[in-house]
Amino acid sequence: MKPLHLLCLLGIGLLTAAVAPAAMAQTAEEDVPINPLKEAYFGEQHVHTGVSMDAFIAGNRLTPDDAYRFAKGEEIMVNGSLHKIKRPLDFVAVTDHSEFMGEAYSLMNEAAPGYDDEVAVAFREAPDLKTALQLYGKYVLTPLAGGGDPHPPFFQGAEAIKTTWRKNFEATEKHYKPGVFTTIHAYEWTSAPGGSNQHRNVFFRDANVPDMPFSSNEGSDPEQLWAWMKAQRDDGKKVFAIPHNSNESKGLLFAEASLTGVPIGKEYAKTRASMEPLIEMMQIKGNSEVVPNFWPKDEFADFENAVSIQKFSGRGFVKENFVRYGLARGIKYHADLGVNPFKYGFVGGTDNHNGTPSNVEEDNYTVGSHGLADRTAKVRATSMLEGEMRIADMNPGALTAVWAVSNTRGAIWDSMLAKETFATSGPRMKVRVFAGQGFAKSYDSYDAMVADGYKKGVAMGGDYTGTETPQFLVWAMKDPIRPNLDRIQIVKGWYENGEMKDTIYNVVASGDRLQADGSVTPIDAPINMETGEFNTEKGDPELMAVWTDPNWDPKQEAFYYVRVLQLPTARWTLYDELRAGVKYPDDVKRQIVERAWASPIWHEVN
Amino acid sequence: MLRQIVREPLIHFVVLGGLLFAAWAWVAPQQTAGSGDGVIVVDQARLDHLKTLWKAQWKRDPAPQDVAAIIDRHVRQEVFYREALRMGLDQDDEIIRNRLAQKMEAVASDLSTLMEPPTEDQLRAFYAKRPDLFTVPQAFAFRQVLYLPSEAANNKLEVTLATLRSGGDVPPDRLSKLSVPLDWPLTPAQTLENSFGGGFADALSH
Repeated sequence: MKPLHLLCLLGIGLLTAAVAPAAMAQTAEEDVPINPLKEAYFGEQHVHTGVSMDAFIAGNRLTPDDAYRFAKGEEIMVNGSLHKIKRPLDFVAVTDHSEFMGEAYSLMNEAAPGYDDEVAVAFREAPDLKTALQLYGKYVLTPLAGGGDPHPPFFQGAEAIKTTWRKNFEATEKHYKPGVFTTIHAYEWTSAPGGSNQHRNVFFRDANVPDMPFSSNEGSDPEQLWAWMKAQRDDGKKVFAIPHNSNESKGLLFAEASLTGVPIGKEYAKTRASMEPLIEMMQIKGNSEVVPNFWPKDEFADFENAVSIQKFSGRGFVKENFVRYGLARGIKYHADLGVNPFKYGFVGGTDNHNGTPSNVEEDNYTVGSHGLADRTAKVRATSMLEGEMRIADMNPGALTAVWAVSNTRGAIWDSMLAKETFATSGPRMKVRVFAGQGFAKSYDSYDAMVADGYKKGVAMGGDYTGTETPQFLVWAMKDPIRPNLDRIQIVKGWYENGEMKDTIYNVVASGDRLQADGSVTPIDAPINMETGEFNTEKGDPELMAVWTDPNWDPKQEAFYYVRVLQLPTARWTLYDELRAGVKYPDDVKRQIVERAWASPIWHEVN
Repeated sequence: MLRQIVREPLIHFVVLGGLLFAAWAWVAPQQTAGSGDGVIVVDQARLDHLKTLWKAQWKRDPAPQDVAAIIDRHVRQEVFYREALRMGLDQDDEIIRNRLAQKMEAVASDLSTLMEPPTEDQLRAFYAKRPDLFTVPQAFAFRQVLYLPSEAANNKLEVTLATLRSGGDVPPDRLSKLSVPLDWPLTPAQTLENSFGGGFADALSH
């Protein structure tokens, strides 16, 4: 057998038993074997199908059923071309907009009441982008920004909403294969009062879901959503929410007061912390971690910042838009109120409107993500995503990884609630972090390292409660089909003398480039601009270190999160230029440093 | 006077009309008599069927007001249907011709299928065409030894392979090369593809 050059970590395989039958029959959730050391499951937690009316107007006719098939690796017709992802996903939550679920019933079911209404027909037959955009502006953007009638004339009422929600439910049930492929019942609550993005996705642990989702038509203030979620929990349902696009929130996601103007108090903080364990770090419409303007010392801050967002809806960037600020503001609230309302772990998503979950590969972004608006290289190179941003500033979206004991709804949802998650900008690298004492410098095996991590420390998403200086056991493994890793960093934020501060530590770098002063010699591993190929010589496939905070103060509130950087790779815009002969404006990036962010570990002082 | 009346066209019209009606009543069959035709019965079986159709469309049980609407719609449709038949509107209608012909074709082919059970060869052909219906997905068990691309030219690759084939052990310096397991128990192809990507499982099957 010849070596498999497909892999960058090259393996020679010795087959001991080929093509033997496996026990693949449908297993019940409780019968799926448990791996106490947990596995990283990769998936999508934010995607729209044709059931979302904005996606429908843009030409999307795919259903949740199609989206799940795509996630399993099937080739699907997307915007008129056959398309598939290179690797199947482990889990998916389809999050259609609840605001227009009733409309979807009339639009997508022939002979349904309202199907032949002239506005419905216009949506269905929008011949070009221009027509679609006019309809989108009038019937989607305006009502979502809180103006005009929330529904077009063909809307059939609450029963139609229930019917669509039920159909999404049935597709989600149909595709769930415990231990093999997980689907999660979910939807998006889409509120943007005054243009401030307050959107949240809502996730249910099991098939115990309400008859009808709560939409921004019923309440556009997150506190109303949480009150509804509370009622669901009181009724025995298990649910949490994940906000996204803090970069479009006009500073109101990590604010000093509630949307109604009441200063944030203990009750608000408790409710928010209970309802929202996670935040979406990055998606198609930008990375919300940091921007260079406000974090000039972070040399990797300039990454998928989607700066043209600022041209629309008055969404200028303020420091309060970004996750690193939010985490710091959270520990300040904890110091003041005793509760941290922004104790967020990280997930990534796409917010893709093509019904194609985790279609995140830069070299496979051939059909875009928003229907007619960006389906060809030609339109991508020159156009705006109406009301949002320049298409060249969009990215294919991010990915979520969950450390769970099995690939089941219960295990994945529970680990999300516990924040044992990390986000990546697309690649499937793996990251582990433990904070504790007594870790070894190296281990005989991966399993021994992980077992020791759980035994002596808390995993990502947890609280370090010790009084001695914590050690951080950090480990990262490259994506098998992507380049090697550059380095692992720890971002620390703390609250000191009334001030919020943060800094970045380089913890370990490939090729022994970490200097005594903590700096790292930059890795010189450019991509091939003629082909888009990445460097296969430099970097390390795996990095591991035990790091101790040199500035530990047990009386200081702090958060620590790990950021892993990959070697540079080509951006989708370069592939468009190489393959389709289009030309993007000069300020558009052709090369990026993809990365992973692990949920923080907090040190709270009580 | 009488002569004048006899010559009046209106009278001709009335009398001839009356004769025609009388003749028609005598010649034509008694269609409107009897209870069946003027009455529309919605019995439980019919209602259940209507509810099933409604549920298939709306994915839930109909509420009482929905049931009322279902019955109203059914009765209205039945009235128009019967009147249309009475007026012969089904005659010379292309859509109705096509529909009936389609139905008959379906019935005819069903009948012929029922009368001819599949042959052994047909079954074998179907089995050959759709193996996915009769087999579990591919799975692999294997042991791998990891070399980085920079080590790919290493002539130890061939030596290692020969050693393993003759039942030897993995070289000690390769035992913990990376945190990727060396031994993979029987693992479905899709799981392997999720773990490795790049057509790994497919490469194993060749």
